[in-house]
Amino acid sequence: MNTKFLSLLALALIFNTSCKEDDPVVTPPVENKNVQVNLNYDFNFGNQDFALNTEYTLDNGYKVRYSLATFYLSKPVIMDDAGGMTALSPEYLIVRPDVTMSDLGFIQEGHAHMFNFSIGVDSASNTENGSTGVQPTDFSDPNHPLGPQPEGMYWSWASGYIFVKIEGEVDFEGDGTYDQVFKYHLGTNEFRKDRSTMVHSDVLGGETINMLLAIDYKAFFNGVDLTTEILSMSMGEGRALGIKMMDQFDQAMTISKMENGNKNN
Amino acid sequence: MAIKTTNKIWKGRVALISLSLLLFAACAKDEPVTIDDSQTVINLAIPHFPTMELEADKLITKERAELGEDLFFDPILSRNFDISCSSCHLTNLAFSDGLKVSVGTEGRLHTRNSPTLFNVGWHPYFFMDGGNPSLESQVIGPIEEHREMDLPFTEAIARVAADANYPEKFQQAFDLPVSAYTLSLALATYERTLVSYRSAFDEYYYYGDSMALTNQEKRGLALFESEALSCTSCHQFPLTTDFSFQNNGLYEDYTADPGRARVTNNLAEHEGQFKVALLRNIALTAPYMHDGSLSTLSEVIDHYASGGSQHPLKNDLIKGFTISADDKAALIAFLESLTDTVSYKKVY
Repeated sequence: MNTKFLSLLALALIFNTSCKEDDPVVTPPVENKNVQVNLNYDFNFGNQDFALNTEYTLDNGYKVRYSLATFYLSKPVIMDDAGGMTALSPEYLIVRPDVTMSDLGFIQEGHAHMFNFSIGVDSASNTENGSTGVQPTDFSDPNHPLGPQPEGMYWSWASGYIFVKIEGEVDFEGDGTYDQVFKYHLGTNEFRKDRSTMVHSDVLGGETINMLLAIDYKAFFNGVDLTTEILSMSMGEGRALGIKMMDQFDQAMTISKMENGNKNN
Repeated sequence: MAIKTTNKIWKGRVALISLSLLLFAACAKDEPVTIDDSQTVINLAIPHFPTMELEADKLITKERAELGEDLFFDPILSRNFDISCSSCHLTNLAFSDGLKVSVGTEGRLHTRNSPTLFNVGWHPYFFMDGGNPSLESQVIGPIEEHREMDLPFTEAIARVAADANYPEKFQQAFDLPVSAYTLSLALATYERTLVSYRSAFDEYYYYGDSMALTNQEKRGLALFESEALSCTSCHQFPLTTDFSFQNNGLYEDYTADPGRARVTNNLAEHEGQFKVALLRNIALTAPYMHDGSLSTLSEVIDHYASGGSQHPLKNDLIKGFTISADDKAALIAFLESLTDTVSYKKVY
């Protein structure tokens, strides 16, 4: 009798359960551990915003106007405090003055210690001196940074990418007539600049790390004699000037971490 | 990102190509190049030449070569639509131009002599200073060069892509649209078909035709191979070059063009070194040397006989020699026996 009662009770319970309206499916919240990394750009000429084809005045009174200011930024990574590297994407970026920000993808939450990248193209990809590597003609995708660029960022005659290409004109007297063209086509493996800056932040999923790359195109000309130091293709007799101008470019660039959209330091 | 696009239509055809190569090796003298019409693969295996090394996606086909030929002769690739590749590489001059230095758009002068394009498919690197690793990327050079066609490569691509006829031809040739990859590969493919391998010298030296050379030419060949002249130390058969970089003592001062040092930035070791030139069709490619400074083959022989300059990087083998007028004539006769501009026309 007792056994029969228990069996009926169990059956009733099962029946009751199966007749109950379906419970809503509860999906456990997906924990977002991704941290967005953005690289913001701030291009200036002294305390003025910088743009191509705009006239600026140097401290010596020379008027200058840039017509090109393009460079390669490559292999951005975030390093954690244990030295572990997270490669960011894309691997190569071509940066022009009208670019305001690059989306560098995600890292996992944790401690972001350093932000590293290079100005230029790594030697394994750069086909310097006829060595094997990457060439613009390897690419079908017209948007690939290492494909052909409108301003010509590759020397087919010396085989290698131009890391930084800056061109413009200078008006010595400020009389409205441009007297001299300047051209700095800077490249070859020796010219690559590896940059690193402290992030030192504990970041949680869903947060964003905003890095800031600033270039002062006035500082680029600090100590440069624009009456003579006007042309370098980085080769031959122009190599010494090319090395100097690559250093100038490097020194005109600052990297920092932004806090709440503002520059941190 | 589409990197190193591989044309899938060639997958699985390796066996067919290999068969074609085998058939070629056994084929008759009059059929030195086999063409498989059904597959449109052009086989450029030449028995007495080294294998032309090609990546899998760079197989030579009739469609690609014809497309490249169209582009080669089309001024669409120059800024002012006034010159084409063929302006400095004329078919009747073995794809050189007969000028001391080349003349580009708007009459701009280059600093170097236009080289022959024959057998360019065997070059391991390009330009006289070897600054470029592939025939494809070399294509960008003359198109963008200010003293040549002066057109940004991106604009060249855009022009060709906007043309009424080319896009369809690219689809037929590559099953891909016009891009940096396909445009350069089309031109490179055509240039690879510019082969020269059946000169009188070849008939004599490689095909056993003892009558192919005159006695004077045979004597010139013997001089060419002699230890005294040492020509074959660098101009090695069958391609007539070893592709090394040599300073041949043309100048004491190479400020105007440092050659290989231009790309290595190493004057101490590379100043005045240029890639050893091919001698096939040399009788058609005057003037000579990297800057076209020697007008005739006679002047070239005189230069080497004199021992050249005292530049510290001059090749040690260039130390001068005495040569009689008869021997000089024989040497020139031999060099003229290297002429063959017909075989490339049979390729496709």
